[in-house]
Order: sequence, then C-alpha cells, then structure tokens
Amino acid sequence: MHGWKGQRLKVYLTEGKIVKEALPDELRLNYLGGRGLNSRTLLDELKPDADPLGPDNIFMVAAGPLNGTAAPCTSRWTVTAKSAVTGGLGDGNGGGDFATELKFAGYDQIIFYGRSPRPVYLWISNDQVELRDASHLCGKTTKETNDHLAKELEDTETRVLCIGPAGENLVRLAKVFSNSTRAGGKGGIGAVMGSKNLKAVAVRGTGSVRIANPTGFLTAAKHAYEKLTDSPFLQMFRQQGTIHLIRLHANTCALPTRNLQEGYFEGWENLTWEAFATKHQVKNKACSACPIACSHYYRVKDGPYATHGESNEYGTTYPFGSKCGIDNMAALLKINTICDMLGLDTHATGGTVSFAMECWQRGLLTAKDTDNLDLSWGNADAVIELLPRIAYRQGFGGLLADGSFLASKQIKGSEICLRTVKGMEVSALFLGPRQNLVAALGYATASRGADHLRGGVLLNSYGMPRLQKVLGSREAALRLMKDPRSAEGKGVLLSLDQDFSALMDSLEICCHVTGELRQGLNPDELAELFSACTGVDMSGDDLMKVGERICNVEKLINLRAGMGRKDDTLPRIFFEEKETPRGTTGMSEAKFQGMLDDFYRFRGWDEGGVPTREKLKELGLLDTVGEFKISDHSE
Amino acid sequence: MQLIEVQAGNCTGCRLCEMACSLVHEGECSTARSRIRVFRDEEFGNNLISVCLHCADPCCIESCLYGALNRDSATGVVRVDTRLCIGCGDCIVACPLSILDKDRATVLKCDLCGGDPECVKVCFSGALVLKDLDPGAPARKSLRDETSQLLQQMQGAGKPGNRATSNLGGG
Repeated sequence: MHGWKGQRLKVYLTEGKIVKEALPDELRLNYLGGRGLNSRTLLDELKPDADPLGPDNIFMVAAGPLNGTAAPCTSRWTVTAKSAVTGGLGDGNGGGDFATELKFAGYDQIIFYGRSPRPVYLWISNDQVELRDASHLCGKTTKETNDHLAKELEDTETRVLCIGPAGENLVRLAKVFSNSTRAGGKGGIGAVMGSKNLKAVAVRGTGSVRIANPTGFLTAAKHAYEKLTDSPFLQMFRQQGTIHLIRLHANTCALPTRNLQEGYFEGWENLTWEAFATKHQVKNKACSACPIACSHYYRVKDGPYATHGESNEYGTTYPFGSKCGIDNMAALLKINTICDMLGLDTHATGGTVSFAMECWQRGLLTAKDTDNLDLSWGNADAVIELLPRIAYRQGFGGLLADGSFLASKQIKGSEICLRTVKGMEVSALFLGPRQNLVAALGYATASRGADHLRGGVLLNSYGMPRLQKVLGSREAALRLMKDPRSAEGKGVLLSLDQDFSALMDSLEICCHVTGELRQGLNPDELAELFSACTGVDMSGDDLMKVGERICNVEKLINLRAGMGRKDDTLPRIFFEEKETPRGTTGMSEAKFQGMLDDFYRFRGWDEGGVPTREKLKELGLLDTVGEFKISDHSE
Repeated sequence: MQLIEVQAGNCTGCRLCEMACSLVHEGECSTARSRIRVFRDEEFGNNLISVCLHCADPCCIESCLYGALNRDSATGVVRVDTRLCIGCGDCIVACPLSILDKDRATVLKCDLCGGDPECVKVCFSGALVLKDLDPGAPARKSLRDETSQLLQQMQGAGKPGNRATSNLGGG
C-alpha cells in the first residue's frame, strides 16, 4: 500500500525509550489515518480511569495517507489524548506543513506514553530519532521555540510542533502549535503535552511519499484544483479568509455576542474583512499543498496595539470581538498574536473570558476578585492584561486557566453564565431566526464537546445525491433543507455530516475545501484521490462507512468515560424560545429531545445513545463490546 | 525562449510546485527530490523560490569538470547528463539554484518539462508564470544573483536541508 509510510513511533517518556513499529494494515483500511487512527488507538490503549494530566494519559500526533502529496489541502495533523476538559475524547487538527515533513521523515503516527522526568523535545531526522534536553526551551513562546530549534538544529526547514507557556503551565485552554501559528487540540491537549514534560517535536525528512498510480493521481489532483479554484465561495476564501463569516452572521443575527446572550453586535462593522483589509492585511499564506491560501499576514503599524502576525480568522475575531464586546480590530489582532505566542486556544480562551465578563456584568465578580481588572464588556486592555496571567496562572488568571466550567465551581452563582457542553465552551452558536437547528444538535453531540467542526454547521456537506439516496427521493431531501427551524430529519442530516467530517479529518484534508455547499470536494472525489494514491480501491460510500466507524469509536470512548444522553445537551439559554422583532430565537427543549431521538435512531444507537450490537457488528466493532458492557445497555 | 518567470513576492508557500515536480519526474512526492524548491519564511511570508533559470551565461556548465552539463542547442535548455554526473556538487557551489541528490549522486536540474512545466500549471498564486523571455536579460541575471545570495545567507544562518543533511530516508 502506498500513501502511508507504514511506520509509527512509540515514545516511552518515563523510560526515555523509543520503539519503531509497522502500522498495521487493519488500522489503515478501517481508520485511514489522522483522527481515525488516533481515536482507535485511544480506545485500545488508554486506561479508562487515567488522569488527563497524569502519566497514564496518551498523547498522539498523526498524519494521513494523503499528507505529503499533491492532493489539495492535505496539510493537517491531528493531536489526540484524553481531554483535560471533558474527560472523554480530546483532539484537534492544525495546518502548516508539520504533517508533510513527518511523512517525509517516514512516519504516520507518534504515540507518547508516560511522563519524562525532565523537559525534553523529540528530534526526528529521517530514521534518527532522539529525546533531547529541552530545559533551555522552557518558558519560551511558540515562535521563540520554532526559531530556537531551527538555529540549534542548523536547518531552517525543520518543522516544529510545540506548546507555549500555557501548555507548560497545564492551562486547560492550551493547544498544540505548528509553524508558530497553526493550532490544534481542543480540550487542553497543549496541557496534556505539557504534563508529559514534552515541549516540542522537531522533524526533518528528506524521503518521499510513494504514489500507486502517479498519472491517475495527478489527473485527479488537477481536477480537484480546478474545481476548488473555480468555486466562487473559495475565491472569496482566498480574498477574505474565514473572517467573511462576520458579515454573514451579523446579517442573519447569529453573531455570538456578549457570551452568547445575544445574536446581534452593534459594533460588527468594525470586525469585518473590510475593516481588516483596509488597514492591516498584508499577504496570503498557504498551508502545505493548498491552492486557496485563505490565511493572511497582518500588521498593526503603530499605536498601543502595534503587532504583526498571521491567521486572523473568524475563530479569533468573534471570540474576543462580539463575544467579549470588543469592536477594535487592532486590539483583536494584538490579542490574536498574544494567544498564538502563549499557546492559547482562541475559542476556549475567548469563551472563558466572556464567561468572566458576564459574571462581572451580573456582579458575581468584582474588582477585588479580579486583581483590579475591570471586566466590563469591550475592555480590550483588560483582556490583553489578563491573557498572560491566564497562561502563567497568576492570581485571578489562575482561576480562569482551567476553563469556564471548572472556574464556575469557584464563583458562587455563576452557573447561569456557563455556555458549555461536556465542560467545553460553546464556540460560535446562536440560534438566530435563520439558523438551522441541526447546528444545535451538532454542538450537543460532537465527540469532543461543544463543536462547530464535527458536523451540523456546514449543512449537507457530503452532497445532495448522497442525501437523496439515504432518504429515497429528491423531494424528501429538499423538504429537509427547506425549513431550518423544523425538527424533521435533522438526525439524518447530522449523522451523515458527522461521518463526512470524520472522513476528512482522517484523510487530513482541510474542512474548508470539502463539501457541496462550498463547491468543494465530495466523498467520491476524495475516494478517487485516495485510491490513486494508495492503490486501495475504495468508493465514496466505503469512505463514508469509515467515517461512521470512527464516530462510533469516539462514542465508545465517551461512554467509557461515563458520558451518556444527559451530556448530549446544550446550556439552558438555548432552550429559551423567544419571539423577537427579527423572528424566533432559541428552541424548546422538547423539540431538541425529539431531534436527539431521531439522531440516535438513525445512528443505530439506543435511546441512551449507546450503539446497538447490530450497529457494532455492522461496523466490525463487536470486539470492543465485552470491555464496555455495551450489551448491558442495549439488550 | 519560453521560460519560467519567478515572482517570489506572490508566493503563498503552498509548495504544490515541489509536489507536482517530484511526481512527474520521480513518480513520488518529495520536496527533497523536486527540481524547484520553496523556502518558507513563516514570520513575514517572504518566501524564496529556487529553480534553474537556464541563463545565458551558465556558470554551472563552466564549473563541471566531467562535461555532464550542457545546453541543448535546439531548445536552449541547460540540462544534466546523469550518466556523466558524479554528484560532486561543484555546479551547486557555482550556482545554488539546482538540487544535489546525495542519495543517487547526481544533480537534479529543471528541464522545463519539455516546454510545458508542471510547476507553473499548479501555481495558483501567480508566483510562477510561463513567458517568452530573453535568458540573457539583465533582470534574469539579477534574479539569479539575488536568489543565490539569499540561499547562501540561509546556509549561514541555518542551512537549507536539502544540501545540509544527508538523504537518509527513502521509499
């Protein structure tokens, strides 16, 4: 089989031992790579009662079969561990070109066990692999770590995956970063890496990825480039990046505002791409193998917020912008740079800061609790002061460093300010009048806690033909799409969407260039690229089945962690159905529970959300049943 | 003649050019075996593109003691005869815009894919454009000198990998 390098590293940090082993075919064919490979490994190897920040947790990073090839936008890497926030699955993917380099060095996956007695980094140069002392890197920012390692290793092409000070200080809002600014790892995976005393992975590879059918592969890749570069949606992506969503969400009253209390932010025009482009945008930046290049460098020339950096996304503009009431673009760019340097997740950190601001609004926090920081909505300077205090766990910052869910246990009466699912901050959900309710179901049931990237947000991304096939007719499919606020059929929509997201995360292709809505790649086109690359003949339907298998594996991980139907829900505020001048917002809980029933039924899960024996048998997962006593639930 | 115009200022650093080049020449994807190289500048995006310019006064031909480099009189392409090349790297010292493949003891040099370069076809940022250009034009010469200088500077600050580390990996 081509595509995969067929080799993985097992690094035993406690003992300082490194083992190379072949990647089993069974894992490649049933889980592809990346997210799927990591999730299955977590299910197999994690002790269920492991402390997420203790030596028993496992930290993994993996690439997929298409990384390091000409297939478009195959730049992603996935990091996975037991979540330090939900206690279940914790993972996330990032871009840049770390995964490409890892493949060229000869590996599909690295698994870290135990805890190193002293700070180390893993150095990989093709088949040379070593754990090296990292005491001189302690406390360094993500960018300093990158620069330092490139210099120390005398190779500017070394690619570095690392944590910033936040991860070192076990801040549960910390992510893992590659290329200084590409982040991944929801659920405090940066803190998990920090708990292992692992500061970085530095990789350099001069090998190659072999292609089963080079001519067919290049033809399929070129077809894909053509489709993507012709898409008006992706052309807008190239021009504006994800920040274009600000205008869209402002227009549909779905812009998460002041800790999701509202869907309209009066200062939204200062957050748009136009506000960004006129003053700060420099040039485009691409991740590995991407013909779109949606990210932009930025610069704030002077003033109190002077800064430069990269990747001003929707995911950095709304969490501190509308969600914290800040309407100053220069300040938001400064905040983005600070988060990148410290190694903080902008979604979760913005969610936690806006939670604290709502506590302030309600008088639950006062100046004596916050070390004299004024947390009024829109106070950008206070946020800029607060971020390092979170990353270094100083004073009030230390309280927020564990995320809003754990912080609320120490702030009396603050539960009403919580916007979390399974302990994870709800990123960008507001049930505005035109918001399709399937998004609510998606956030409530996503495997790593509240999540906009695991299905339900990009509707019907796998394509209309597939939906028609499942529902039997075009009319039935259209009916589902027509009324966004009806509960009908949302379970079907979401199931397929989740399967597709698992599929693309396992091929490690960027979610921006997949899906019918964006005129991106559909499962059949992904199958064409996959088959020409690996020589393994699989159809779009086969790949979707892999996606379903991965979703079920992740469900088993969460069930084992004690999560059930009670955890597949949303914060109360979403269940307040309100008539506003702009239309109905929110939804009734009864409607939500009906949608959840529908979703479980279509998934082949019982009403507690437990996969049935039949479903597990169909997916070849019955071998895992005994251990989790699934039968107790399903029979 | 039809040559590749390099506008590094437009480069977004996706390196699809490297993937396509190695795929058509080697049947596999590898940046180390690509005839064109992109060195990314993460902080500001001032990426560096290194590819043979097929210039009018090729110092590589002069530097080769084995007569492995010559200019095709019909097409004007400066090419390497891999039967004669021993991979000594003298030509890379003279002009660092091509690639030394230590594994196979040979130089990898852009052959313009017979006049229709794949790298240009997969470049969507406008950094690589096929154009009718005079290989002896002053602009080409200054591009060669500037790129060479930047590559040498990089080698001083931390060497670019394809020349600094041995090619241990394979397959």
